[in-house]
Amino acid sequence: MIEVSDLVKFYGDKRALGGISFTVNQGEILGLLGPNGAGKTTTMNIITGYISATSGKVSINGYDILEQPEMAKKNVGYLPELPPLFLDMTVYEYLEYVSELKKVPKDVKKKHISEIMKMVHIGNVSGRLIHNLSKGYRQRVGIAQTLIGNPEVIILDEPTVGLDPNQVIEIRKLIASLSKKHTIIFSSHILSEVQAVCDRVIIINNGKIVADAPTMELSAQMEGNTHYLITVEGAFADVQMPLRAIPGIKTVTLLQEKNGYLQLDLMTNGDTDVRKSIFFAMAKIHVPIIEFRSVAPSLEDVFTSITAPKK
Amino acid sequence: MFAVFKREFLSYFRTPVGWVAICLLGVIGGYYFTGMLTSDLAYVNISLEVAFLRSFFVVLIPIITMRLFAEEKRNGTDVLLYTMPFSMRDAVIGKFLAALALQVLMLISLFSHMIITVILSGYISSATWGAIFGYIVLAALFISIGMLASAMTENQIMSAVVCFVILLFLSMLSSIASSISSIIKAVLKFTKLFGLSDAAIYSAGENTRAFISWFDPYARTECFTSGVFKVVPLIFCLSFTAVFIYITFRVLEKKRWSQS
Repeated sequence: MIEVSDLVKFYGDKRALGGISFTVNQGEILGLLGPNGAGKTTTMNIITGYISATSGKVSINGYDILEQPEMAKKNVGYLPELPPLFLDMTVYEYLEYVSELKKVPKDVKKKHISEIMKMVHIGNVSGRLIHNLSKGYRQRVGIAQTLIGNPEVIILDEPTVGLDPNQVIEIRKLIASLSKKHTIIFSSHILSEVQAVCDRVIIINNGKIVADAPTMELSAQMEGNTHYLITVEGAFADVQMPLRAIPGIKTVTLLQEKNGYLQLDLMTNGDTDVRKSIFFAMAKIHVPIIEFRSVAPSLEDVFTSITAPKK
Repeated sequence: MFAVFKREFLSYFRTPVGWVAICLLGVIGGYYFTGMLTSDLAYVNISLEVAFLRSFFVVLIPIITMRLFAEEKRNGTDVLLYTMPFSMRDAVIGKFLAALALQVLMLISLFSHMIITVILSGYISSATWGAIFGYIVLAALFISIGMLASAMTENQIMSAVVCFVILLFLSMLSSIASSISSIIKAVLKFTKLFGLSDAAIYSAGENTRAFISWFDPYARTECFTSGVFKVVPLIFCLSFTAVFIYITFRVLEKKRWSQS
């Protein structure tokens, strides 16, 4: 569906992309993850033909973005970080304009626009000026714009930035629903979002791919270290030794001591289930466990461990 | 192309720009026409009104063209032009035609003056039609200059100022040519640099003036105002218009390839 091979992009002397290659299969939701300035937006801009690469090749559905731009662009809907909206137009006028740019046949244009408005739930504001819409609605209009012409590939650059939590959930649901019919590339630096939405994650740092794996697989990379957060009633001096003595526990860290309660972070090697041992060790010294929960490694841990500068 | 044309043309009327421009030219033209009408119907010459209106290009064209590309860049909507399945050339031509269409629409008051003149048994000479034709050709050239200025910046004010300065320079080109010609004559006469005769010095000055005046679009299209149709001025204006449209296209394409 999308083939990106050896993309290099220089801005003056600064190398923004240093040879990025990946493919995206049909129906896949790919998450592009990386810190600010990593090269996510540059990659997306090159894929959509907004800017050109210094070297490298992008083909969409077999069409080269530079050699057959019109054919390639027909297959792509792009929502940049700042939605390209004309604030002086109504929602319908705007979508009509985009459908004319995308050469949607006149006889189906009206039906096509109303289907999309229904899909992204903006039918109730079709006659309103975009200027008067909330940020969430504007984002929806931006997404609607990408769907005009039924492109097979949807590229969304940080579509949830600046939205309130409810709007973020709505947009995520919308993106998930789009994946049934479209291939999606989605960039974000909100890691939980990528975990929730994407099938596969590519982590970019300093213009290079540092990880490319299915979301589940990437999380599993960190399974070797499992954390437990426990709160007990007692003194740290009393609990420290019995906990350290449990086979499988690597470190015992005191996070907080308040009103006679201790909050501890226990790091295990992940191979042994230490939960029963912790319970019996605390029972033996008559220290009640008030709270006990395991902390699964997040993608953030993976992200940090991969992209952190090596000392 | 038509989609861009339609959006751009209608956007003039979603903001006060289109309405203000039409009203402004209507008031100015109306003032001039009323002056002619109240003196004597026999003196009513619409071609003179058109020539008078041309002098306001220097203000009106920058206002009309400043937002064409600068606003799109500032608002980030230029992404649509680059990522949609159509050529940037179509976008440039669509925007150019929209600005030109507004400029033609601004002549609506002029047409009403022509109707009044006919109703009052006045005479519409061929010079009037020639002047209108020259007005449109000149407007096309100036719009292409303004559009280029707009493509080179994302600041509308900067775009308007650059366009204003260029159009002001062009409107003063014949005076500038005469001044430079006089300076050259004076310098050559004073320094006797090449030991030239008076006739040669005069000729050098005049040739310089003629060379600079060659680029004067107002002087070039003057024949239309007299009702004389010539192909050379038309080719002059259209070819320069095409050159500026092409440069605009290249400037916009350059962004795609920019390494900065």
